[in-house]
Amino acid sequence: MEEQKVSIVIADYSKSPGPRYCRQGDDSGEDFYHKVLNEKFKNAFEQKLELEVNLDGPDGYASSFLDEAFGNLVFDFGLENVQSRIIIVSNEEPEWIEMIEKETYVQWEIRRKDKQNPTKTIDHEAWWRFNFANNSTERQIWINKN
Amino acid sequence: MDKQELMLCGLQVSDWIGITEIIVTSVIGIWIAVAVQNNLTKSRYLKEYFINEVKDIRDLYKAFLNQLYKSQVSAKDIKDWFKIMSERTRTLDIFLHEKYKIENSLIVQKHAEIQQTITNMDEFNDDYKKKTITFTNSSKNEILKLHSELSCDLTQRVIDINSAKNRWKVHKNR
Repeated sequence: MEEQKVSIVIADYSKSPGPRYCRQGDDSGEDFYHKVLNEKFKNAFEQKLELEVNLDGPDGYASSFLDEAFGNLVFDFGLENVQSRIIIVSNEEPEWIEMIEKETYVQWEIRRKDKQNPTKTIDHEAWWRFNFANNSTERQIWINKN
Repeated sequence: MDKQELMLCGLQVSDWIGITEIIVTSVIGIWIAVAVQNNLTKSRYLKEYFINEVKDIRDLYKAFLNQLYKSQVSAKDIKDWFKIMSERTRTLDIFLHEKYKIENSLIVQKHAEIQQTITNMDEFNDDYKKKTITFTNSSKNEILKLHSELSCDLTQRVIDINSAKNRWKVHKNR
């Protein structure tokens, strides 16, 4: 039986992913998280599907882009939920997978537990977050522009 | 009559056996010498090719980081260059593993560390939209430290290649 999954190809979002924050340049990690990754992950999570994120295709990545995008995901949904649903694919530069899974996930989970809010450099529309108290997802503007 | 049958060109059978033995031994000797020499030549040629590839990577890094120290590159240039070098270093590692069973990924790992460090720096991100990026002295020192670690790894790799033994593995698809 084929495993059910949904996928995101980052090259469909941008051929040239940018810096960490929206204020620093176009197609930033912050922007990608709020425009694509948050909603896609929430849908996959609720439908108990795996979300495959394919990094291949763009002209290259800044580590800050990937850190901000996947880090925010861990901050909003928790490490366990992210690890159980996300599959990262990178045939071109597999070292990014190692960085995300071994560094970004761990550092942002600590940050989530310490309640160190991420920086938001523009005002975003409401986004999804997992509420551990009632085991459900909720949508609101959790953090305003810093 | 018997004695005449056993003689040819004035030589007896035992003489002919001796001559044949000398010829066969000489042919085998020459064949072994040529074959071994050919294999040694091929092996040395291949090693020199891989060593030159390591030297090319060293030179490309040196040229690129010089430009970076002089604030002559943009964020996009940096991102693009790192991706191209990722492919090149990984390909080298794959072949070194297949040909010489060199297991670790020294160059790939150090390259990834440099790529991740530089593209995470505040100057890289804050100056992303600018035509060129100016790194602070503190960042330059950090890059310099990583660069010298890479140089050590590249030298180690040359030593590994030079002292490696062939696996003599046949690759059907290559």
